[in-house]
Amino acid sequence: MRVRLSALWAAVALAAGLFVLLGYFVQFKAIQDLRLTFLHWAVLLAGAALIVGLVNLVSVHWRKVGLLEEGWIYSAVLILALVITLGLGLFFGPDNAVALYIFSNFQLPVETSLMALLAVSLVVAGFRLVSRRRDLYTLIFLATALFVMVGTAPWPLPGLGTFEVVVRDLRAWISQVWAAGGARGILLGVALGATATGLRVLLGTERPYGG
Amino acid sequence: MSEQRCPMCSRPNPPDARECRHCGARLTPLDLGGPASGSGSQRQQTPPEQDWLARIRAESEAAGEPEPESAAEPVAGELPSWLEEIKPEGSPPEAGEEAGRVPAFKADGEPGGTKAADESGPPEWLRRIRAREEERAQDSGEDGQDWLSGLRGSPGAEPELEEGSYSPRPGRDMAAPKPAAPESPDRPPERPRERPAAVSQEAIPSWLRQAGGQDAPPGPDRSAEQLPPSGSPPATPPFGLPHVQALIGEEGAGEAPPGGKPEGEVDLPDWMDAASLEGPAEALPAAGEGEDSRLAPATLPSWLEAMRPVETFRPVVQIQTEDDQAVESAGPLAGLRGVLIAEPLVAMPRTATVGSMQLAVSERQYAQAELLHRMVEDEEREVQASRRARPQLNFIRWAVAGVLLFATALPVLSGSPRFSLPSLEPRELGSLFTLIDTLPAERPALLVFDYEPGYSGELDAVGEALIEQIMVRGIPIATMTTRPTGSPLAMRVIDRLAPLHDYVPGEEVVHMGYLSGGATAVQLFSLRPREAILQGFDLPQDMQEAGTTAWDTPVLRGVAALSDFSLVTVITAGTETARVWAEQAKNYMGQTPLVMVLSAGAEPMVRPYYEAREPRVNGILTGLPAATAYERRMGREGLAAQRWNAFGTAMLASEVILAAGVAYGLVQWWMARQER
Amino acid sequence: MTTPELIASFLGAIITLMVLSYLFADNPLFRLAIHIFIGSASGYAGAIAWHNVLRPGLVDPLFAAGLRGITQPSALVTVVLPWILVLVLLLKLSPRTARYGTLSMALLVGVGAAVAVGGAVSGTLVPQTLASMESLSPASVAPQTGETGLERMINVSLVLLGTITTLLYFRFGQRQSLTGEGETPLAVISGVTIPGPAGLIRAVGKAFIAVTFGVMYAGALSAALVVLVERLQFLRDTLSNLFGALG
Repeated sequence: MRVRLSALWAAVALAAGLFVLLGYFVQFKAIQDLRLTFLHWAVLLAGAALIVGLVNLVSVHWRKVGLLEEGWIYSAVLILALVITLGLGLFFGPDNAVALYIFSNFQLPVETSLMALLAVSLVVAGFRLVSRRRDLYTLIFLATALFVMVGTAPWPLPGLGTFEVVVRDLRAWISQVWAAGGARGILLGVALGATATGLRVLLGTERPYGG
Repeated sequence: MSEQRCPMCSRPNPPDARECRHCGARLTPLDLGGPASGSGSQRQQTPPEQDWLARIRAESEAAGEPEPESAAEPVAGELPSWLEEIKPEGSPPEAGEEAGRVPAFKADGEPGGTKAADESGPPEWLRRIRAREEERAQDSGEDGQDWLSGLRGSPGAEPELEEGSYSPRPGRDMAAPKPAAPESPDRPPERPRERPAAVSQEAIPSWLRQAGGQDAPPGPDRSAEQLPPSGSPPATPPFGLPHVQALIGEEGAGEAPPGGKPEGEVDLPDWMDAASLEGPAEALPAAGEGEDSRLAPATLPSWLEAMRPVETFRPVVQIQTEDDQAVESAGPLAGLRGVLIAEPLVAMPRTATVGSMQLAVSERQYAQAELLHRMVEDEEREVQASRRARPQLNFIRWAVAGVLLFATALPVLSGSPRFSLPSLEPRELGSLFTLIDTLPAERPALLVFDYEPGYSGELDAVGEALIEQIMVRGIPIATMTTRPTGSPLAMRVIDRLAPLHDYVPGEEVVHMGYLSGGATAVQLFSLRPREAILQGFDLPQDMQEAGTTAWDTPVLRGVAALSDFSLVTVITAGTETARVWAEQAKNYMGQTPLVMVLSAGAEPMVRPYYEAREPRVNGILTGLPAATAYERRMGREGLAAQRWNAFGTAMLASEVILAAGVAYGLVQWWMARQER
Repeated sequence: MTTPELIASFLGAIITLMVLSYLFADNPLFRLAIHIFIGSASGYAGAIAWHNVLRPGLVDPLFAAGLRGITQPSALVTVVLPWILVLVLLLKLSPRTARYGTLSMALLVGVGAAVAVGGAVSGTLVPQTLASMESLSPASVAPQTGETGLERMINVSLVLLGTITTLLYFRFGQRQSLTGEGETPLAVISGVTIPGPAGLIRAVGKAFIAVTFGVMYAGALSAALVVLVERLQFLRDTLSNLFGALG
């Protein structure tokens, strides 16, 4: 009897997921042990998947360098940086001084600088928002944002005035009550969606792993 | 003996050949009987062709007789005069016809009608011709009897031309022809008929002989027919048709009748030639005589002749004079006169005579058809190549960046303006401070550094305030992360604060390292922390050499479960990570509080976990203002306070820019509305 | 500051300026910095995954068990099968064998889905639903904030209203307009359409969402500004150290 591979993969996903899910609600030792085993394997596989992703990244940029495509120099720099960092990290350990040196002086400045660029982008987007989309909800969005920013930022006037107290209380009220209500609805919606999607994956209706 | 030419392919054939050896056409006329049909070797001698019609004209002009062509059209029902003159009195009818009936093509405009024979006798010119022939026959010593006379049985048995109705045979006779139609250009000019082939009289079978005089086809009009008077020479043979000279002669002209043409006489076609009928022998050249090659006359049987749809298939088309003829204006024959007009007949589109089908089209179908038509048109339409957009200078971005950088750099470089530290602190700050302050100091606190290096500028400042309080309390600290870059970030923060509070790595603080898997890793760590993390990060050298793990350090020696920690603090910028820890870990923490140190943007999504009857998050510290307030509570000025002034100016600049954007948009909207 | 630290700061400053140059326009320096970052981050992630996960989880147990140990039943679960699963996952690298690597992916995805479902149900759905059922009694006191009385009643009502209308908006408001297809509006005043009950609920939910996202936008912007401040301070410190060292 020829067994379709896709059915086999779905069966594996279902079996592993079923035991892990049961472990949330059933305190049976066998189920708990099996659940732990699957969780162990998943953690190891996640680490291996990271390595697989690394290899794929190198192959893509290696091909780009080999074919001398546009921007191949950047790909070469990428591969060089990857090889150096990986080599140093594998050989000396990720906590060695050289690896941390690279992390502190290359990776960290780049990521924080990108975050700083985000500030400019957010302000520019906020500036153009009303010009591009004029409706009531855009105004509510921007008005809320402005009010929260005013309530968050240092008060430009010296001394604690009544106005500042009112503003800060209103800011707290908006972010901790009004926004919390909307956030709770969003959280419930996200949880419902995650439950539905997870069950579809377990039942084989959706197969994001392929096959 | 000279060769004979085939009337069809004009190729020479032996004189005695009956059929053409090239194309198979008959060289001798087909005769149904009589001496003529038997003597296939004898061939008809065609007299040289002469313009007999012209001669007739000339003679008639000389005689003062009107020309036959110019003669008025005979009255319907009457035979033309020349035909009446030709037809001898009492001439027997042709074979296949009713006795006394004139074939349709001879009758004038009366389909199916026959005309009564002219009882006044043969015309004068025919009598003259016959007289001449008799003289000739007497001179030559011939009997003057031709085979046809023998067929008829009586020399005078000639069918009379009858007037009256002529019942055409089905499928044979068409409308009565118009005799002597000078308007028929497609009719080739009649050439002098050649004399019929001589047939020896002794070859005529008896039945033919009998049939020649007595045969009279039945018909309703038989009563009207009249036998031709005796004595009149037969005009047409009873069965076969008179010989019709082939149109193409060797010399291109008809042969002249033998003996020349006496003055005043008219050259008649052979079938009209009574002399040829009476004395065919002398008219026919003898076989073997050396004569010029002549065309074998083609003889059409009477029934075939009767079938000739003269009137139907020979439309009368009047030939206009050259000046009256229209000049063709279209097509390849443009500029010529006298050509058939193509455009009106060929080029003009004709509408279907049959009624076109009417389709029942609904509105929806019509709309769909229109849509399809538009789609097809769009496919055919050329899409204009979009011009490459020139790179636009982003003035707004430059302006905003300039303002922000200036506002931020101003206090950084100059130290002013300065903002007062917040005197108001969040409501949850007090409970958090109290929570940390009441933690058991013997149990380590777990710090989870689950944020990206990009957020280190904010979260380092916010987290340090809480970490410092923990350190002040002397609570051991263990760090872990589910992100690859979390461990070095944790190391940076701890390495900055540890010397300030005499925390020794491996003794008071330990880094457990990285655990891959996201939510799965959190679940595993929550279930079995010791089985999840097997190594450490940045362990002391001696421990590394000894091969010990983080679990072997004094910090984690008594920890077996998550609940063994005194505090679990998750430092994160993402709502997803905070939610995962709140969902997965809290169930296994027992009484251990879970505290979230968050970026300002993640607060709304975590607060519902905090503000619940059974909260899953026991403390929240979010944003620079809360961190500044925390430091203020601690009585220390940390990173948060150092960044407060620049943060204030940057926020102020951002507020102004956003407000300007809102105002600009509203003004645009208002102006647009005014224009409307 | 020592020389290596000075050099490190200088390099960091150069990298920072290369990235900040994007404010003017995309340029090769920015791209170079980004590619260096991607390469180094990927390499570091690989190194730490090996040292913290794969080596202690796969290699060390294998060496610890030895050839004899792997035949033990306990080793089957802790050593043999994980190795098989990891090697099968490595088949994903080749297009020809990628389909067989789906086994490990299926297990990973199945476990992840179950964890997500379990956490969503036990960690969010039930607790948040229970949390929404707060008492409207003025006598109740909020445990975290200490609210009580009318303030608490209003706050609880607002949170409940926000929760319900937001959920209803996600459920019914994605494809329909405010008035809904085929739904007659309540009234039209001066060209402004007042929606019906369902439309009104969706409109309120949308307003709550707009408020929530506005707060999140303000928080994200303030976080980014703090990082910008940190970067400028770093540049200042580097320059001052550099000038101090040179001086």
